[in-house]
Amino acid sequence: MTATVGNTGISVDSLARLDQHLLSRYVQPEKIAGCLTLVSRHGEIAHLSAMGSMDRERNKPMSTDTIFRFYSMTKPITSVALMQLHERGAFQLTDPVSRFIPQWRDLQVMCGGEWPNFETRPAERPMSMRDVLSHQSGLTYGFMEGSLETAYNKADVYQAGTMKGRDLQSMIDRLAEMPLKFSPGDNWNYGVSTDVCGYLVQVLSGQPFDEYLQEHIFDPLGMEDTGFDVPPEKIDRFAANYERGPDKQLRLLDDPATSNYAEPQTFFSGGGGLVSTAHDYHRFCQMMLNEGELDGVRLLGPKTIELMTMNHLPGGQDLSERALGSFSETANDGVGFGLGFAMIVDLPRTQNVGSIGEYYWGGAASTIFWIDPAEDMIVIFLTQFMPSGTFNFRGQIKQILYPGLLD
Amino acid sequence: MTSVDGDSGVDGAALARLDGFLLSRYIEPGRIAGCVTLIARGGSIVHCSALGMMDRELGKPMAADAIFRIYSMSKPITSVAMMQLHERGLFHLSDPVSRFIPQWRDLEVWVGGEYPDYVTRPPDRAMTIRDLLSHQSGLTYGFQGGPVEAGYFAREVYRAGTMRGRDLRSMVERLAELPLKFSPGEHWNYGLSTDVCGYLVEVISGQRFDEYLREHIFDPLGMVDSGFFVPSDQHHRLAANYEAGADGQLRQTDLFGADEFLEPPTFLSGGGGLVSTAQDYWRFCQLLLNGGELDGVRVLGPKTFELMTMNHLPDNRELSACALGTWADSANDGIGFGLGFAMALDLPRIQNLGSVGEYWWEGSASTIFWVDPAEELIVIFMTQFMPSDTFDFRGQIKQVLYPGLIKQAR
Repeated sequence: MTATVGNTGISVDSLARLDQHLLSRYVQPEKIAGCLTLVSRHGEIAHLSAMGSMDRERNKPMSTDTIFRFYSMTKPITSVALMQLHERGAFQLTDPVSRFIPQWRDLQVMCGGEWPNFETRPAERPMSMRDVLSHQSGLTYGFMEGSLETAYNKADVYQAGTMKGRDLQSMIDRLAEMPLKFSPGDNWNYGVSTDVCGYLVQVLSGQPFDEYLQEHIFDPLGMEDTGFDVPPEKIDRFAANYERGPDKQLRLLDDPATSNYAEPQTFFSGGGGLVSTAHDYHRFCQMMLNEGELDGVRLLGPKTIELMTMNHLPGGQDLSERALGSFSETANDGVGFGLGFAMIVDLPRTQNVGSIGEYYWGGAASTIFWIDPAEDMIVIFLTQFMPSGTFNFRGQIKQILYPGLLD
Repeated sequence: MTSVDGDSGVDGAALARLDGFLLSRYIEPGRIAGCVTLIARGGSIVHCSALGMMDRELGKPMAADAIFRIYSMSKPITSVAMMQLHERGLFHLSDPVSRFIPQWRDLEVWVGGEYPDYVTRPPDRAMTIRDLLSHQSGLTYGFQGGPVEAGYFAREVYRAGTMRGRDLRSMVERLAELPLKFSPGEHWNYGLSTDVCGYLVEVISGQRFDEYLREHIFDPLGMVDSGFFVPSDQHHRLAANYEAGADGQLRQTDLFGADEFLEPPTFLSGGGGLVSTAQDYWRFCQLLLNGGELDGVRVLGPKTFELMTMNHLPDNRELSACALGTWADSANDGIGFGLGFAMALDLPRIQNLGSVGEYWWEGSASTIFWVDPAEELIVIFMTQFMPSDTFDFRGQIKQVLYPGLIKQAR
């Protein structure tokens, strides 16, 4: 009989193989400095494994309570915040966004030219609240390629790490002067949509976005180490962030001691601004897996989570049919997109083990998570390495871990 | 008044939020005078809340037993009556309607022209009983606007509030002289189809339609306050009906006739003629949810309900793809239509919480109901405000209530 961990039904061998894989393929060859893997099933943590360094320059080993830059793993949290307000009847998914952002009433769609002399046309329909929750808004990211994206950068719409002194309102105001990349609903495109969701949380709730999250998500869930900055007393728990230099060696990208995150933020990026820990994000994921409730505290209703994790791409299409551009935190075949999460709609098309209905996202520093309702399982993998498309941690962790699911 | 059943699996906080939402958004700002919301789960009423006024001018507060004009919420009841006769083998859904209305044998389809000089052609196929039950008949409503509709007005086929002295036969006879809007089955179009169903109940059962409903639906189900009029000793329970005046303020409406429903009508409209209460309509819905039986009385078989609540639009298409006019709006994305009911086919296309398979209809004075078999849930919302497309009560009640469905009732 195969040994399993506690009541989790996960084989001890598969978890050992997973550690060995990460150690021998990534940490020992110094492709990444270190990582932290959390696997839980049936509400029980089966595996919490820290390996390598969290800060190579200071010889600090990775720790289970290390604080990471979560970047786009902020997006699911922002989406939950907005859907809490949906539950209060504060908006409908079909509402035009301009109901809450009046200066966006006349947004145009780009059809040619270069900034500031774009040729534009009126959008075929207004941008809706569902569009900003599902990246079908026509908004984009400046770091991606294209003339509109260049204009985002020239107009300083949003660029991670340069937002000191700016606020969400200033992003909204600058976006009012930009055309959309496409008419809302015509495509799926990664962009500042979820930052707009954060702004909408402020408008609809009347609270600053950081305070809203603190009161309605972080405090109720006991996410004590999650926020838009790292307070001084926790800075020694903050990991360094790395990239790969021209010599293929790891190179320091953001030193915790001098990081922007070490001081209070003015721009509360719902698309990528949070730092968090494996423990905290696991609490968030467990709330989602429990259909909205954790330890007697309810954040959302089951029917809301059901709607958020359904595929909202038109005609049940997958991202390979809808997505523009090269960048996002997922592969596209067999993958749908809902309200803040991608989900698997077709396993053979993903060409990996997994479950239909598994939903997930990732962050720019190669952090990933997924929630698998069919297997009652949560996986969180944290590291700090940019860009996130370099290694396929999600696919590899899955193919080693899933054979170990034995009940 | 709010009562919460602890085993209902409905979060009391969500119910309180729902009342707060209706109060702060609709009643206190004077958008509607008042409303009754009834929510049942797992066979029990978990919430019955009467808010605001049933008659502002008389200063009468809304009451849980107020009587409402349910207008098109008559249609599901008429459809059930028809399907009871189907269970007795008295017709097939595929039967031509002209089998029972011989003067409709040569109905033509409108091609062009204005009343009375229409250009017409023969239909591609005969109108069937299923076409009537599912609004695919080619019939229409005069108020929808268009050349065929102008003929409905000119011939005074049917107009709510003006039917005193008329009967169902006179409507059927006048329709015999007018063309269809389209060849049966080509589109979905809201119209007099369900009034024709009421007439067919009379023809097929040999009973007057009101007597049929009394004997076969209202009495067996104990729907004591439902009927085509309010008896004189109950007039004080009939809520006033409102519209928004030019100044945006509520005022009583006589849009469909001011004194309708106070005495027995001669025209028994299966499409919109009934008054009822939240309690009565709940009993009807609970019958549906139970698959045709309530308190030991069986009114229909489960397989009949199964068929009625399936999508009967061709190739499982959506209402927005099949409907004409305002019903072709994208607000009808993800929605199918069966025999007397609309139903949810695709939640992401509907863009709201809910369940696939939930079915519903609504009435002209903004009354709504839905039955959600997956959640064993019934929601009835009664108010009296015209027209019904002013506010999205269905969508808003759903988005506030459904987060409170904590555990599956099954």
